[in-house]
Amino acid sequence: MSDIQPFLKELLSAPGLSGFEAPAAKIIEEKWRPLVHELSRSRLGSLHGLRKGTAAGPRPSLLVAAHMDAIGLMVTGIAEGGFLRVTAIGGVDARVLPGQPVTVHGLEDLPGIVVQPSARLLPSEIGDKPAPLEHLLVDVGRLPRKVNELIRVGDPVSFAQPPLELTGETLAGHSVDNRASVAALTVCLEELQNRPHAWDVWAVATVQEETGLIGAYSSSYQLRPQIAIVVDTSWAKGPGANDWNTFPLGKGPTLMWGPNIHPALHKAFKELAERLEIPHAVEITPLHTGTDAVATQVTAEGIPTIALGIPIRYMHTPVEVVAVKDIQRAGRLIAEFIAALQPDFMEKATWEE
Amino acid sequence: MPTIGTTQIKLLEKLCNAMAVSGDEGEVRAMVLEEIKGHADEVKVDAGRARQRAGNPRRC
Repeated sequence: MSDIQPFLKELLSAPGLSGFEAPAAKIIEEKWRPLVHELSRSRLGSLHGLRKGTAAGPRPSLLVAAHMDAIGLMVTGIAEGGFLRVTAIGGVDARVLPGQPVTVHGLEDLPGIVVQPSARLLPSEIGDKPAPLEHLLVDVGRLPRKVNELIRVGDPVSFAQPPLELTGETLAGHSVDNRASVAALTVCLEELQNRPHAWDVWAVATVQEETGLIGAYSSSYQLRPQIAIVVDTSWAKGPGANDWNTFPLGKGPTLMWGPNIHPALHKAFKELAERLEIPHAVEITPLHTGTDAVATQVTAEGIPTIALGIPIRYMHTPVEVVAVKDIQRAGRLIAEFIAALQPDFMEKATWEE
Repeated sequence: MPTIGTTQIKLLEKLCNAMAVSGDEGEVRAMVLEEIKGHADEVKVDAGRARQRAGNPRRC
C-alpha cells in the first residue's frame, strides 16, 4: 500500500474554503488524473473522476464522495488601524482562534494572525472567557492605507497552520475534516488500479459541504449512481469526549447506522470489514448524519447510501488530529467493497425489517 | 362523506400500535399497502431510504 501521508500533507497545506475550493481541487486533480479514466468538474466545481467498470453496458455505477472544502473565515469589515473583522464560513470553533496564523486572500495572499483584544477592550460580560468571533481581529501587519488597498469585505481567510506530523503516524492540521477522507478516496482509487470491478466508479470530491451539502446534491443528481458511499470525519475519543458518539483514534473507520443509511449497504460493509479483519466501529446516527450522505440519500428518486467516518480529535479547529492508519483502512474497505460488487447487487439485496 | 365506524377505529388502533421508527417504517408500510391494494391500479414504494423495491421477494 502506498504512503498516503505526503499527499495528505500537501492537501492540508492548501486553502480551499467552502465556495473557494480551487486550490485544493487542483492538487486532488493532479493526484487523481493517473488513477481514473476520465476527470471533469461539475458546474459547481466538484471534481468527478470516473473509473470504468468491466460489466457489460449499460453498467451500474456507484458514487464515492468526500467533500474537499474547508471551514474558515471571511472579512466583514476593516476596523480602525487596519485590523480585520471576520465571520465564519462553516462551523468554526472560535475558542481556539486567537494566535492562529491565517492567509487573507485579498488582491494578493497576505499572511495574518488572529488576535483577541485585551480584556479591557472587550465587553465586561466576556470577562476571562474566550471572546466570541465578532470580537476577534485579524492583524496583517500593514498600514491601514495598504490594508484598504489590498483587502475587501468578503475576502476569504483560510487557516495557514502547516500540518504537523505527530509521532505514532498521526497528523494535526486544519481541514483534516475532510481532506482525510479525500485521502481515503485516493487510497481506494490506488487499490482499484490492479483490481477489476464490474461497476463504474465515480470518485467525487464535493464542494460546499460545510455550508449545506451543496456539491453532493448537484453531483449525485448529475451522475445518478445506484449506490452512494460517503466518507466524512467522526469524533475521536479525547479529553471531554468519551460518550457513545466518540470512537478511538487509530482503531479504524466507523460505519454509520441510522435512518440516513441503507440497511443492505450497512450489512454488506459490516460483513466485509469483519471478514477482512479491518478494525471498525458502528457509529449510531439517529438523526441525519450531517454529511454529504444526507444529500445523496434524497437526490432524484433516492439513492441507497452508506456513510463511513474517520475519527478525528478537535473537530472544526485548526488542529484536527487523525490517524493515518484509519485513512488507509477506510480506503481499503471501500475498494474491497467495490471489487466484490456484483452487477445485480441492488436487485438481490435483502434485509431484515 | 365517509363515516368513522368500528372498522376505521380498529384500523387506527392497528396503525397506532405498529412499530415505525424513522428509517424503520416497514411494519406500518406493510399495513398501508394491504389496506390500499384494492383501491389502486398500481402501488410503488420510493427509494427514500431505498428500503422498498418492486420485485423484492421480502416485500408485500
